Amino acid sequence: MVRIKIQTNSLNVWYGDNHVLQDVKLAIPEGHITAIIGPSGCGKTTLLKSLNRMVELIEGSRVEGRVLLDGRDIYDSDMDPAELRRRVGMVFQKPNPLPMSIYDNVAYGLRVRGIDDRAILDEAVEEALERAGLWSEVKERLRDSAFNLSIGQQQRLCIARALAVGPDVLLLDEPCSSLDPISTSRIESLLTRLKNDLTLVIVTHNLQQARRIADYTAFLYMGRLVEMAPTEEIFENPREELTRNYIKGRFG
Amino acid sequence: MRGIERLTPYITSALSLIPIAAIIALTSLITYHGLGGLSWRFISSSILRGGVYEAVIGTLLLFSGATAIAAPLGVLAAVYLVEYAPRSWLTELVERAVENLAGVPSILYGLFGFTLFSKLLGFGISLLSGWLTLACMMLPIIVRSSQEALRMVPKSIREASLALGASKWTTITRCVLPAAAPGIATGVILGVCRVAGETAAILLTSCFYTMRGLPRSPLDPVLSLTYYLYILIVAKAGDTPLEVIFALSLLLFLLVVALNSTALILRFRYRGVKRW
Ligand SMILES: Nc1ncnc2c1ncn2[C@@H]1O[C@H](COP(=O)(O)OP(=O)(O)OP(=O)(O)O)[C@@H](O)[C@H]1O
Ligand SMILES: [Mg+2]
Repeated sequence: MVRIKIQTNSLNVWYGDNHVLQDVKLAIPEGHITAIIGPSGCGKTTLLKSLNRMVELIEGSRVEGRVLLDGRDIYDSDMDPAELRRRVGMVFQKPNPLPMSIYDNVAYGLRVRGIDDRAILDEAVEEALERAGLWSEVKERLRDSAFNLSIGQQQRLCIARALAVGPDVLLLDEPCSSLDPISTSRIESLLTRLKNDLTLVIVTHNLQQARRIADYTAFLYMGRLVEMAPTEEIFENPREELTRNYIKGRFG
Repeated sequence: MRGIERLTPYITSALSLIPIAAIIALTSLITYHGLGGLSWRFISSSILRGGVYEAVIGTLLLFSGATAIAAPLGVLAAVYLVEYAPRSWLTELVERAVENLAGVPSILYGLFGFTLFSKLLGFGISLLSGWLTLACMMLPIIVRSSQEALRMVPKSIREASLALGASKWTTITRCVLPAAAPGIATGVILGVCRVAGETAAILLTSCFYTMRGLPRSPLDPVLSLTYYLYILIVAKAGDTPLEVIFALSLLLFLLVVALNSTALILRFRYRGVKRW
């Protein structure tokens, strides 16, 4: 039996009057990769952003229900969103390096926590870049602007940056959608390695990608969770008609 | 009809030459008459000995003090409006007001400064009153350009920082402001440009015709290049050689041109570099 890292209970999200997530009940297993699939606009990004409260930053958003991280509700008033986001990191669809050097990008999350000791930062930066498989490519030019990297490298830098603060969970929103096939496969093998010590949740439009790397797959449709099961099952033998149609490419 | 249509390009390009011609005429007139009188000695000797030293220093004091007051205030106001204030009719109103304030004639600022700072607050005709009045003139421009610069910083940068566990304030100071810095700097210089040739506002709040020497405290009056030029033309017409008047005009002209070009270059460089 796998341990559940994140559990959502009757999670509802509105943007103004638009009810974009409806009664979502989802269990994310620890130490595995969970893929979230579904047609455009069904609420995948919103669901991901409700797991680290980034959704609260969207004007007009309202969240109801519970999201338990290790059994504790992250929407509790005594939960500090900044602390939460250190434990639940996020990688975005478009690589978004900060306008500073490669080194400073990776050190950023530690520095804002008040860690300024050079030796500690050096070590953390190297370790994070190493884990993201980027160290050998950038170790000679840590002082260069992050914008000088290729798009694929930038996305791995964003992963390294998220790893540097030591999260338990990493949320990835279509991390490969702007990348070429080679960069994509590098990130896929990177994610597969990372699941040894992290819980990963990845939104993807690429069903083949979900199939290749995800242990579990959740299908979201018009703001509702249709079903979630081991990836094999979703693709080979889905319980719901809707899922079957989506997998077969009949819509979305 | 057809004939006019064919002529249109020529007419419009001829019309566009008018402002250029005006600039060339003005520049050559001032340079022709002023160049002879403009020298380091002219700039560095006291007005008592036919120079403009006190007015140069006074102008620098007025600019720098007003900028030191207006820049931080303006940037903070812009940060509040862009990053914190919820969109509402109130912020909308404030933004409209800021836009309109930028176009208010300077004599009205002078009157306002005189009433509030010189009289009501009792700062008198002084450097301090001038600083505050000029700062009020610069503020709308600085606020507006800073707002623009802040809005140009992509949302994805804010998201990146917040997702790493940075607070909103940290995100603003460490990511957003540095990214917007060139735009903000351009705005500050544009603000200085707005008051660079200013006469009316300081005429009423900070200058005395009889002022001699440099101010010893912010509560002393000052002389500025514009004010001194005004005095030479209006009050001492006939007493002053034309050469001195034109040398002073040339100096003022060069100062304003230098400031405007700096703003232009900064803006151009800023646009040219793609940073995200
Ligand atoms: N900032 C926002 N303000 C208002 N409505 C939004 C906002 N972002 C998304 N929405 C709406 O919420 C719904 C869900 O959006 P979401 O971005 O979560 O979908 P998605 O599944 O990630 O789509 P995609 O696959 O295109 O990324 C959509 O109907 C969208 O129009
Ligand atoms: Mg999305």
